[in-house]
Amino acid sequence: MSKTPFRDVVENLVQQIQINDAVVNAFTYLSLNRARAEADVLDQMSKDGMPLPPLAGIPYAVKNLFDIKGVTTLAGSKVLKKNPPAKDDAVLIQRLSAAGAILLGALNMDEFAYGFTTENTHYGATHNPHKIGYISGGSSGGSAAAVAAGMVPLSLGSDTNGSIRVPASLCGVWGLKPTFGRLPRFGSYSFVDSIDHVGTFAKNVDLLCNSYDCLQGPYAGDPSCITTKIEKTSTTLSQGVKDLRIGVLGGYFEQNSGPYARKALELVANALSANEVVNWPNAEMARSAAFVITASEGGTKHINHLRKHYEDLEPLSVDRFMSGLLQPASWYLKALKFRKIYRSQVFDLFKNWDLLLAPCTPVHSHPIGTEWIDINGAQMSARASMGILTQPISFAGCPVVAAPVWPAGEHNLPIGIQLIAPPWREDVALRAAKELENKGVCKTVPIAIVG
Amino acid sequence: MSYKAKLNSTVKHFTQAKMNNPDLDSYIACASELHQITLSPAQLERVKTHLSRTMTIAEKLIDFPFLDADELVEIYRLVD
Repeated sequence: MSKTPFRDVVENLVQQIQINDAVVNAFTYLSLNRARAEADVLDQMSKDGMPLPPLAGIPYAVKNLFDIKGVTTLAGSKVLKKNPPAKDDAVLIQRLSAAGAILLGALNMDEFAYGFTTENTHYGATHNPHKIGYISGGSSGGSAAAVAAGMVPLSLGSDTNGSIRVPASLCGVWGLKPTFGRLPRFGSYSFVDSIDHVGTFAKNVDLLCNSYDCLQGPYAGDPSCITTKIEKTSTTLSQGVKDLRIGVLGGYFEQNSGPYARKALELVANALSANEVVNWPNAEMARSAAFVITASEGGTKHINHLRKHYEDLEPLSVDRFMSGLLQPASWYLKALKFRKIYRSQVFDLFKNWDLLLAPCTPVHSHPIGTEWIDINGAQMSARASMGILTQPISFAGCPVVAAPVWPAGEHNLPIGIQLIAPPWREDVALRAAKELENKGVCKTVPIAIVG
Repeated sequence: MSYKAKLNSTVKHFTQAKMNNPDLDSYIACASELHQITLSPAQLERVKTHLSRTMTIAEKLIDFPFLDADELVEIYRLVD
């Protein structure tokens, strides 16, 4: 059987990236030499008749807050540009490399991950490949846009309050935010230590599942990685959903979903035979608490940048960091107290449900530069409100798959639905994702970008 | 007035999180100095907008009737 050499696949892809990214602006760094070297190793293994690793030849790229050996980690900022290059790869990159995936580069993001739009003043906005001039979502906007544009089939991102699920929703790709503490964050530039998650974007559910299985495993050097074992999801992926108790989140989630999001939710709920409306406890309070913790930890982390480089920081977020720094400690501590009560309420809810559904974003993508969005007649800050439906979920730490839906057909804009499972049950969310993909309800849609 | 005196004069409002704008101005100026950051008037105005927004969002949290026995969340222990 003749097979295209991995090296040729890489060269073709690089050409496509160079053309498409001139329009989309997803990449901030291309690791061409490394990609060629990794492809050559795989080609040699093929020639020698050696068995290939599970993700052999899968090209991927990473949000530029992950350390890439020999490259300075930017985290979307200008002020880190003079830092020395990373001495080693982030743990997740090490694991993808070990699985045979080929690293193609680093991707754009909101500075220090504080944003939902990837309108990065230093490196330019990342455009939504489905509508140039519209936001890709954020903060992992480059990661979602690169997959949506077909530049890579797989990418890494991070999600504190929705930074995987929001861009996955707006760009129409699959996203996975695993359980809090499931994947090691070591070697990534943190934003909010007590809420940060790392995860993936993929062009299909099989790749989402297989890459996740390769990324799993404890890591002793990272206290935030509390998982103790690998729980493979690929073995159960095609089990279907007949045995699952699936509900639809109402109340807060319905009130904060626009008509387009509600239409997408209806399509997914029908496909999964989810008829019952479920009330998620204290969602609004959870959002408040997540908001307070995010601002406080984020501001505190960047105190030295605020002291020395205020004018060099992202104008769209610097004042929010400053405001967070000045928040009273009592607010932060109350948010931590509330989080304990909240987690317990959410975990109790899952005694009666296996999977819950809600939109990822209140609306679909909008033009870059938009200040206000309309959510059911209420004018809300565009940059702060795109995470209104994701924040309460990550605050509890539940795993979520963002599933891409096209409520008005494939030539229109996508919007994502959150498939929310109990902690440590990524397998359940992935099974539902596979079912939706099999039924054609959720999918990525290939596009041709015209510059 | 020293920043310590300014801070004392605003602390009673601050604990209740019901500050009006002049209170917020002095709070932000004092608290930022406490962090060794001097804000320009324009920066202060923008920070005030964000802090006011956070106060609105956090209002219910601040008023939440916690019990004495309520403890902080254990961050890296998800399920007992």
